[in-house]
Amino acid sequence: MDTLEAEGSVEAKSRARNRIPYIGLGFISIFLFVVIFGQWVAPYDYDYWDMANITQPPVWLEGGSWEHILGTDPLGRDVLSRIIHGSRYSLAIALSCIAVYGTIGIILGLISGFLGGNVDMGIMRLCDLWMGLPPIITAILVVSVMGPSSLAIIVYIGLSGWPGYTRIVRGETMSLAQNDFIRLARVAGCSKFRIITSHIFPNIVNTLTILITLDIGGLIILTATLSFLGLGTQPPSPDWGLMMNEGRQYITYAWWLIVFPGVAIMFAVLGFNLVGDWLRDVLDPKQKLR
Amino acid sequence: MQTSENILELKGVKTYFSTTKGVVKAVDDISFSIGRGEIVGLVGESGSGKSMTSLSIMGLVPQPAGKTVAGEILFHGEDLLKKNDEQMRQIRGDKISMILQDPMVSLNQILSVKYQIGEVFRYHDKSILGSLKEMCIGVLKKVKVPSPELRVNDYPFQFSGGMCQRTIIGMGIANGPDLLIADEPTTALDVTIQAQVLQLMKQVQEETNAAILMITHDLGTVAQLCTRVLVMYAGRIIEKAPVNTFYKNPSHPYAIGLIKSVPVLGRKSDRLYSIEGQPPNLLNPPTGCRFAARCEQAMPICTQEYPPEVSLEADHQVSCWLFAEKGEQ
Repeated sequence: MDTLEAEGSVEAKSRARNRIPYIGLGFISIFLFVVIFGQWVAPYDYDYWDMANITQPPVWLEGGSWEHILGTDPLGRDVLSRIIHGSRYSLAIALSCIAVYGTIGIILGLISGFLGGNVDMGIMRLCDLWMGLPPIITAILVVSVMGPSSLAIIVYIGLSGWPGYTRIVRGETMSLAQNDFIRLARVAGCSKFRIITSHIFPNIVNTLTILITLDIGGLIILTATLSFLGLGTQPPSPDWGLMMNEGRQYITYAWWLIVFPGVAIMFAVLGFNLVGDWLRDVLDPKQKLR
Repeated sequence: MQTSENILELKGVKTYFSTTKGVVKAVDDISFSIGRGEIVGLVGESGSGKSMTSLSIMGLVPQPAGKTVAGEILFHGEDLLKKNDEQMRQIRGDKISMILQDPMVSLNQILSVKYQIGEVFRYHDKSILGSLKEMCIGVLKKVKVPSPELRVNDYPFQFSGGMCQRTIIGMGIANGPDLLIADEPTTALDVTIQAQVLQLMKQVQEETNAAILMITHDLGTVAQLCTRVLVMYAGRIIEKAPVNTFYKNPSHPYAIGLIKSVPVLGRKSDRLYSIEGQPPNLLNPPTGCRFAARCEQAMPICTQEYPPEVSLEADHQVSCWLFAEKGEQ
């Protein structure tokens, strides 16, 4: 009975691994295409004011035209072009944040997990402390010191996001450090630094790939939220969150200003989450992260 | 045996682990020595402290829970316990080396064999001797891995268990160590491969004249390879004897039990001999002889006081009240 069940679950698992997330990959492909080639694909510049056609609805509604497929805002700016240009902001900010807090988190996690003892204790308590800071209030604090800008967002998220990485990397490192190959490496005369960089780190790359992919989605939402609150990217930049904020006051008669950036955020995030889940099944079938 | 020829000498070494339940005395006051080019067997059941003894010598007792709290580990007359991390790192892989139990998990699966053998040279400034790749091929050649020129670029998962263990032995002897600690080097291997690996070790030992501390459960291995035997029980060494004496004339009741429990080919018996009971918990070891509770010849004094080490012959010592003077009263 047990073997039968086990076989069943193995089969189910391999099926899950073979299920390539075409939809998710499709969303990501479109997103990345737009990020890279957006300047040439977008019909207009993000700050081009078509004063003759202000607040024009999308093409399929009465009053819409093919010139502005997704309509225009009260300044006559093309919504589609702004969304296309905005993709670059979303990805750039998300990746910068990950670069900052990923580096901090991974390094602290490796040190904490490998050295253990008081060092571990200190770093973990710092994590607890850091995670206890109320996020929006800290964001407002950082912004009020630096002034609202994309950089402020990167600094804030970069300095606040690392404890999650530290904890996961620490756990992985601790279980890896128990392995005999680490002991053999020490027998061979490797220093602790060497063991961390050339024996442990390559073994956690899989986990990190999954983490980062799953994180990008969340970060796109978080940065959009901060921009929506007016804490991040400033006008006239076409950040998706900022566009939604600007469209907020017109929602009763120009819904497309807030709906289309929202849809863009949703599909980008959905794409990264679907692919992230799939990567987790493929690369790390044993473990459930988060 | 206690001559200047000793390359390793342990004096009263104690390695303790602090756990939430209390202090576990994994290695409790053990002393022995190993001479140049000697193969010494360290036998005992699981959990008797064999591996911890070897890790204590290497200075690799799991930190921060474990610590060698007392004693001296003299290697070429220098106390290894007084060396700092960097000095120990220099010694490891160069003058003292070690082979671990399970070859399949002793190599990092995601780094090439070449890289991992190379580490032995790289961190001991031996890379000037020639190209690293050539040296790695040389190592594989020495331990008879087939077509080393091609296999040197492989990853450990492409190797069989025997080949992995050969590679590890190759790494162990690459720098010509004076002492090689082999922690159950054949336990995880097939019987046919076991014989090959043991033969290889013996051959390597004859070529390099390295002393080997062979840790094992397998009394057959000991008989085949070793010149002397140390028997460990519950963190202490209870008998030290030359291999012939040990098999013909074991003295400690535990050692006698060990020898008796080995099945002999061709001799029919309904049940294999086994020693009754369980080894004591090292968290709170009994005050007297640790084997007393399981011993068929236990006397009142056995549970009260730990027996002194008695020399039966020049190189045959036993810790048992049966042989100590006080016990005879």
